Amino acid sequence: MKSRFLSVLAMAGLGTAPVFAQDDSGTEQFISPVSDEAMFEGGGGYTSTDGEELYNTFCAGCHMPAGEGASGAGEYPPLSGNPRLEFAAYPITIIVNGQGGMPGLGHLLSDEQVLEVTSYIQSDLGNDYAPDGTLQMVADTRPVEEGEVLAEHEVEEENVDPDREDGGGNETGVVRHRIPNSNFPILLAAEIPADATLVYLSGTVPQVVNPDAAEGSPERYGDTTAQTVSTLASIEQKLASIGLDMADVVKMQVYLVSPEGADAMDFAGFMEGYVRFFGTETQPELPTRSVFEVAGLANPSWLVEIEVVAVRP
Amino acid sequence: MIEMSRRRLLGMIGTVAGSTAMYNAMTAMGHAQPSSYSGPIQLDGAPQGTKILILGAGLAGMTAALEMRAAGYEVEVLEFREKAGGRCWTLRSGDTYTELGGATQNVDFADGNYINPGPWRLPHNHYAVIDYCRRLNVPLEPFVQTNYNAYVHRGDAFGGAPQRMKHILTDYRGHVSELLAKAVDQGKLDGMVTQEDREVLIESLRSFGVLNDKNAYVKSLQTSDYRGYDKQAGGGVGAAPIPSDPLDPSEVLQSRLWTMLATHETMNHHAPMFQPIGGMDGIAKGFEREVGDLITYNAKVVSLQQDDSGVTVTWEDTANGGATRTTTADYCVCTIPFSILGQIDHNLSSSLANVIWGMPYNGSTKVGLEFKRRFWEQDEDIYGGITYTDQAITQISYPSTGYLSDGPAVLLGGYTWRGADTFKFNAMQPAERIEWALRMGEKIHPQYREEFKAGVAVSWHKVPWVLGCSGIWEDRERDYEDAVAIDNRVVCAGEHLSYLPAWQEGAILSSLDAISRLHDKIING
Ligand SMILES: Cc1cc2nc3c(=O)[nH]c(=O)nc-3n(C[C@H](O)[C@H](O)[C@H](O)COP(=O)(O)OP(=O)(O)OC[C@H]3O[C@@H](n4cnc5c(N)ncnc54)[C@H](O)[C@@H]3O)c2cc1C
Ligand code: HEC
Repeated sequence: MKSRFLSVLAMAGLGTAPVFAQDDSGTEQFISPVSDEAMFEGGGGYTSTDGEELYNTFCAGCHMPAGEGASGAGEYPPLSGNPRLEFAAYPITIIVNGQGGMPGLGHLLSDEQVLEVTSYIQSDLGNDYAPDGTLQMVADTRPVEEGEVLAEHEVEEENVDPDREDGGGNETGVVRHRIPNSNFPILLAAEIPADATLVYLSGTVPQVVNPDAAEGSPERYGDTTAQTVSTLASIEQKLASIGLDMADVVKMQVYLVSPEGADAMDFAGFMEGYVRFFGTETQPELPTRSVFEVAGLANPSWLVEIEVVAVRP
Repeated sequence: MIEMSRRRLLGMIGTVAGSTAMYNAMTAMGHAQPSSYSGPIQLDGAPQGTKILILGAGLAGMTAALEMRAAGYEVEVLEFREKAGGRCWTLRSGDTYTELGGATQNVDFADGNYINPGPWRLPHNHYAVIDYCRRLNVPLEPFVQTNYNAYVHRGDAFGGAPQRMKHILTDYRGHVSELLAKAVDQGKLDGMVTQEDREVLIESLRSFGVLNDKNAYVKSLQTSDYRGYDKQAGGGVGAAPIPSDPLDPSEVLQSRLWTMLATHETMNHHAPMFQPIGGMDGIAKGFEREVGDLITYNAKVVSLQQDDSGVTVTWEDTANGGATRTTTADYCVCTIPFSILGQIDHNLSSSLANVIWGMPYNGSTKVGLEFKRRFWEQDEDIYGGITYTDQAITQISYPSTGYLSDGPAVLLGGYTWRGADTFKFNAMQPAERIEWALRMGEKIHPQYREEFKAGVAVSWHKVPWVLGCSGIWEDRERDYEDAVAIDNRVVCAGEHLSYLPAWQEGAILSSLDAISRLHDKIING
């Protein structure tokens, strides 16, 4: 028995692994370096604010003790040597809200705990990134109560007036705040009146632009610009089908995949498509917007997926 | 749509009910949900030579295989594991299990002893699974869920001393009945109870709570007949019973041990419950006897593509060096858990892909402990049933079989699914999980250390072929229709696509429904 325990732990390859020792009675005793007695105290929640300890007692269960990940019928991705951890925003979002097979864990961790474990995985497990997360970033990532301002950034009351643009093309009572001293075609913030009807459109994906191209070939859906255009066109259609148009859009989230061979998303290509629909002569309105680079979308040929929220006039 | 973005959007606009809601999926296990099963299905008239490819040989997959072949289809099943059953699984003496991360456990139990790391009990009202046991000749025996002599335990109640359930149950009911009867008698509920009902109500409370003719719950032979005596009735000299003292009403209330009485009363735990004799995988083996010839084992599906002419599945033949193979069919029933399907290359429609991506799985850890002798029977007169505790192990379930036998026996020393606790157990190595189960269990049974022989601990987030215990819907009401809909030539089925999550009944009913609709579509277009 003893040798089995030891081999298990050897396999884990962990300097900080708990150790087992044989006591006189012949039963295995377990001696842990973690403040182990407290492991299940306090109603069982996580109490430590030590990034490494949180990793070992939480994340290591799926991502494995050295961040090496694991593979069976499905996978747990490695966090060691993972270039996606360069910027804290990505892991923070995933830890708080989950992604795919990873459950959202935000409800089990405080802001400080999320930040500490993020800093740990950025700077340990074979990663050497300077932790750049902040408590504010974690707080911003958490779900907010409905009724709060629907915007990407907090709005300082006094900054608002000069760039305030009431109403807009459609009578919605929406207040659109332009970004001061900037022509960048997105809003600083959109203020939605409490009685507005919000319409959430599901993620919309590109259309096949070249049906003759082989399944899975890049030509089938086109490049990032082409995919942006076909996606936005399809959003325009969906909105029309429920009596809305692009001018009603107040919020947009864009997910871009890095094209094959490239080492990052094609943001410029996306912008080229985007400006054909927003801030044009016929459709001058702008939404608030975020753009994310993601590892992949449901279909490997897709480079673009876009979600919008509109306000019904 | 990828999951991150949906959750992220929800996060930013704040319409989500709160992620804790997702973790309630497991508690749904305790809610009463009737089965929609109405007897064996009859599918017939399959078009000649139509081939159905089934992915996964769990209960959903094997139900589909059995019924689709009976309907006249050509059926093939691809299964990742080296045997059938999926989550319906038993670990017995001599077995070896390697979890994700590489830790291998050799099951060191005495011959014939086993633990069911996943499903372990069958409600009598799960009509479909019971009917398949009947049809597949899987013998069942009673599973004892409720045992009045087992304990309820909380670290902060009664100085941490475990209480017999019969004491808490009887005293709680007695004290509450007394209060209510007195209130009625003093006219305090007159606005709520009619004159005619008052007397009957009091009479019923005397019966229900074992009250005396002054409506009081007191030490007596009558109350001891429910809660147990100090000295039980015997024969011969000095045989008269001696009544026992009820616990203090406030202490019973404040102990909150009454929270542990309710599970037994939920429909999914009503007596009688059953278990297959010799281990839950008796059901898997029953199905395998029927459809084993259709299954290709060690086949890891890596891609699922469909077009107007058919379905093409690519898989790795893991028994033969991972060689890539391709299987085609006219239609596909996919029972691969969404935790894994979300990582497989597929071209399913985006509405279905959305749900697949949006479904993480919750975890669960079960610990089987073998002891040298049945001390719970021999020292404490506990035969089967469950002790509940507020510790992370949540419960100890004593074997519902082999009573009175000598030699080692296995009990369930821990079964956790609560949020943080489950993640903590999951992050441990097997030996640590066992050690924790011993530490917590010995607070209830001091014999633990002395009698411990061997343990096995399975954490479901580390089970290679599911990566979890059961699917968590982000919003089941919103997404259900999209998830169960036939997507051109593919239909998904399994535990996760049911309103009976984490029950085998859900897997079978989901499968029966999916294949009925698929059959209808094939025949009627
Ligand atoms: C801890 C626990 C306790 C439970 N308790 C109970 C209980 O008491 N009573 C009860 O009735 N139910 C219980 N359940 C629920 C029950 O186990 C499930 O609902 C049921 O077994 C699911 O069947 P399924 O066919 O949907 O999925 P599975 O059994 O998971 O079948 C899916 C199959 O797909 C295979 N597969 C996965 N990936 C691939 C791939 N890439 N390629 C090929 N094949 C693949 C898997 O190996 C597996 O065989 C419990 C479950 C757990 C985990
Ligand atoms: C229940 C298992 C599980 C646990 C516990 C878990 N993760 Fe994950 N994690 C996953 C899965 C599965 C993915 C892949 C998600 C996907 O498919 O995109 C993932 C992805 C990630 C990613 C993105 C990796 C990449 O390359 O894109 C990060 C970062 C991450 N997890 C961090 C954490 C941290 C930090 C913790 C602990 C607080 C944690 N995870 C706990 C299962 C888990």
